[in-house]
Order: sequence, then C-alpha cells, then structure tokens
Amino acid sequence: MATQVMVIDDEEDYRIIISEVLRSAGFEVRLANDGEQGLAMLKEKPSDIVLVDWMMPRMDGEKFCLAMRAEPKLKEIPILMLTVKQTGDEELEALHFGVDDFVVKPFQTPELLARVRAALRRTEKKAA
Amino acid sequence: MTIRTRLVVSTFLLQVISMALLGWGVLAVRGQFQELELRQSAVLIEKTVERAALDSLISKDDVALLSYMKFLQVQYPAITQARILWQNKGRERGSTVGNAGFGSKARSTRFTVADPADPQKTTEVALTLDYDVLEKPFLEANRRLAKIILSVWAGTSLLGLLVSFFIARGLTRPIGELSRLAGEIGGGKLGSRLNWESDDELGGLVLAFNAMSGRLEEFDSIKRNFVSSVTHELRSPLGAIESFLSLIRDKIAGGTPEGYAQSKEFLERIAVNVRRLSGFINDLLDVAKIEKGKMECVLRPMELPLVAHEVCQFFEAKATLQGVVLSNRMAALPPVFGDADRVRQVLVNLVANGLKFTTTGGQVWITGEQFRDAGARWIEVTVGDTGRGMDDKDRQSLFQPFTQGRNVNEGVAGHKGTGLGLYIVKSIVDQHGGKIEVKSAPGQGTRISFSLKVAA
Repeated sequence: MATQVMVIDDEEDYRIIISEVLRSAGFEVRLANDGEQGLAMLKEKPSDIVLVDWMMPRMDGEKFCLAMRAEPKLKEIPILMLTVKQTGDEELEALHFGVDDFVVKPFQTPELLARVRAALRRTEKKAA
Repeated sequence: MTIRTRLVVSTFLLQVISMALLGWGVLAVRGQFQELELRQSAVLIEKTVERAALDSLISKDDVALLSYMKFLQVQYPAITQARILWQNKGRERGSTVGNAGFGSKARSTRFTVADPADPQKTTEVALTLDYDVLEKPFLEANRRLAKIILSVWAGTSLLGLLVSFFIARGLTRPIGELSRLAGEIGGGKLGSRLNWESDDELGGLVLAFNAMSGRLEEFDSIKRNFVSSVTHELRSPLGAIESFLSLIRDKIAGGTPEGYAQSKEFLERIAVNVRRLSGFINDLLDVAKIEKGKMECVLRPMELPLVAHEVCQFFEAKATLQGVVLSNRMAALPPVFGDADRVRQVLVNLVANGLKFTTTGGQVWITGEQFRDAGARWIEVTVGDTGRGMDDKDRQSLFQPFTQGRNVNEGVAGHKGTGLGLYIVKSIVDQHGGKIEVKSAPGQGTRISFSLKVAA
C-alpha cells in the first residue's frame, strides 16, 4: 500500500506543485485548503505524514499542529511545515509546538522528497 | 563638569556671595549709626557737665561740681580732662580734674554757663573727651555682630550646599535616565519607557520621549511586517514559477499526451505568477514615486463608466470562480478630469480588495453619483462589498503604507497582499484633487468612495 501524504496549503499553486511532485514519486496525496478542513479529513482517516503551510486562513499552521498533537489518534503523525519564514527563532518556536521538520518555500523538488522520506524513516524507527 | 556639579557650584556660589553682600551691608549701615551714636553720647556727656556746672553755680557750691566731675570721670572713662574756670565780676579761679594724657583721638569742647540771677557770675568748662575710649563699646558690639553674621553665613552656606545638591540631583536624575534610555533605544531596544511623572518641563520631556519611543517601536514593527510581506510576495510566486518549470521539464521528458496537457496548464499558472510579480514590482515602484513626490497624473477628460466596465470585465472570471456577484452599477455620467490609467488602477485595487474580503454568495459593485461642492460638480465613485468589513482601528490605518489590518489575512486564502494598494490609491486620488472615504464596520461590508471633478 502506498504511503499517504496529507498536504494542507491555501495557495493553489503549491497544492498542485506538491501533489504533482509527491504523486510522481509514488505517494498517495490528499489535499486540503486550510487547517480546519485538513484536521477534519485526518480525523476521518489518518495519513502517514502531514505537510502543512504556516500562513493560512481560519486555522493556521501553528493552531493546526497544536490541535493535531492534542488528538490521541493523530499525535504520532510526523508534521512537515512549509514556510517562507526565515528566522531561526520562529523555527525553534515551531519545534516546540510539535513540528518535526521544515521545508522552506521555494524548495527544490529533491529536497522536498528527501525531507518527507527522512521524516517517515524516523517514525518507522520509533514504531519498531 | 557635569550639569549636576555645575548646578551645585553655581547655586552655592550665588548663595555665598549674596549672603556675604548682605552681611557687608548690615555692617556698613551699622557703621553709619555708630557715628551718630558716638556723637550723641559725646553730646550727652557735655550736656550733663553743662547741667552740673549750672546747678553748682546756682547753688554756689563749687566743690560739688568738682566732686561731681570726679564721679563723672569714673562713670565715663572717656573724660580725660575737665578744666573749670569760675569768674565773678573780674575775679577768676580755676581748677582741673584729670590729667592731660591726651590720646590720639582726644577732642576738646569749651562752653560757658552764667548764673541766671547774676549774669556776671559764670563758669567756663573745657572738656576733653577721648573718642578712642568712647568708641570702645561700639567696636565691641560690632565685633559681636560680625561674629553672628559670619556664623549665620557659614550655616546658611552649608545648608545651601545641601539644598542645591538635592535640587540638582532632582533635576538631573531624569535627564540621566533619559540619556541612558536614549542609549538603549539607539542600541535597538525600541519601545523603552521611563516612569517619571511631574507637571514641569521635565515631566513633559519624559512624556514626549516615551511617545517617541512608542512611535519608533510602531515604525519598527511596520518595517518588519513590510519586510516579511515583501519576502512572501517575492518568494512565493518565484518559488511557484521555479517548481512549475521543473515539473514541465519532467512532463516533456515523459512525452505523454497527458503530460503535454498538464504542461500547458502549468504554463498558464506561471503566467499568472509572473503577472502577480510584475504587479507587485509596479506597486513598489509607485510607492517609491510617491515617497519622492514624483507620482504625477495627467488629467484629461475621461469616461468613468467605460473604465468601470473594463475593470469589471477584468475581474469577472475571478469573481465567478469565487461565487461572488460583481456588478457595474454606474449609469451614464458626464466626463471627469482624470488620468484614465491611474483611475483604472484605483478601481482595480479597490475591486481586488473587495473580492479578497468577500466570500461565496457575496457581492461587489461599483456606483457613481454626481454631487456639488463649493460650486463645482463632482462625481463620487463607490466600490462596495458585502464582505467582512473592519473595525475603527483598522479603518484609521487603512491608507498608511506597509500596514494591513490586524489579522487582515485571517480568512483570506492565497495571495496575501502587501498593504501598498490603498496607499497608492489614496495618493492617486489626492493627485486628482479628490477625497477618499471609508465606511465600514465588522461584518457589515465595506464602502470606499472617492471623488473626481466633472470636466465642464
């Protein structure tokens, strides 16, 4: 069974780009426009990994992470945060609210794939 | 020398000098009185002797005068010598009391008394007074007075030193604090405040300083917001373009018909992002022009409804996609003075904002109405929406550059904007001599109106 990735981003361009990259690498992709929608879809059926944008309407990346970590069914799922923010302080803060890794926009395709795979590998090790 | 030292030294010196002058004045006045008193006491002695001489003449008791003179000499040591000469019808008889060991300041007076019953009988007295002796008690009193003045002078000087020290400290402390604070602000710790309340000039300075510090902090956060939104506005479309290009490369390499179709779609998206980037760069250039005062509009008669129609057509597809009804409700209007390109830019910005904050099922519209003001005919153009509106605080900062309302992008998907649009809009309307107005309340939609002069 293919690894399933949840992609949450309010910018359509990035939803298309990320899903295209991941699908051609053999992942199964689900898309959501914002944190609320993404959280609802995850509660229905958890994914193996979540990619979430930081700046989003209604429920932003930070609130989404906190909500996900509070959900027993979802708290072990690795989260990759997509961000244009550059300052180390903010990334450090994000690690505190439960983000596993960052992908800084704009990203190179191989980097995105490598980070997704690395995050998945770490969870597998933890499970084993 | 610090201000504090200078203050202490100068107030102290001022006090010392003024006290010294006061003491000197007292002593000088005292000296004048002394002279008067000296003369008075001399006169008193002379009068007493004169009286005694007369008494003894009347009572025909010459010995009494002599013994009285001796008594007086004991009483008044200033009397050095008294030579008495009795005359009675040509007969003369003299006697002397005291010796003539005259001091340097001895002065003699001579007076004659006659018996009122027998003017032939007279007594002449030559009285010598030593002023040195006469002066002695006065000099003593002066010395005592000088001593008192000196001790008061020393005491008040010491007290003055203390008081001036405290006053100087009270005055210079807030100045010192302010300079420390200014250093902090210079070092980048913006928004520092000083807790100091007084209703004098220093209190005012501290208040003004605190206000300045607050404004600096505000500007800093505006700058930070701006940098972050510029970064986002530049990086986001550039990154998307880059990614789409690499996807297209892969699709072409794949060589499948689906890949070809997808590549066409990606190219469309690249075009959209390029437009977004160039729009943003144009905004930045406009802002630079405005800041330099070089935003110029060429005013020519133009047809507003035509421009409004173009703008509505431009946004029609986007509005439909969003489920928002966009309508041009502008009826036939007389031509106005305006720069058609700039007026179009204003409408594009306003309609784009309306669409940005209006969700599915809402409406965005453009209207135009004529009105008269100060004898001129104007047209008021309004762009209204049924979007989420804004509160008073956001309304006030609406036309300031680089600011967006708090949480302005909460609930806005995609393109966030940079907070430049309405600043440019206001500058364009200003260049047209018009006014711009906002009516809005949270949840009540927004109406932004601007006025243009009718070309008569």
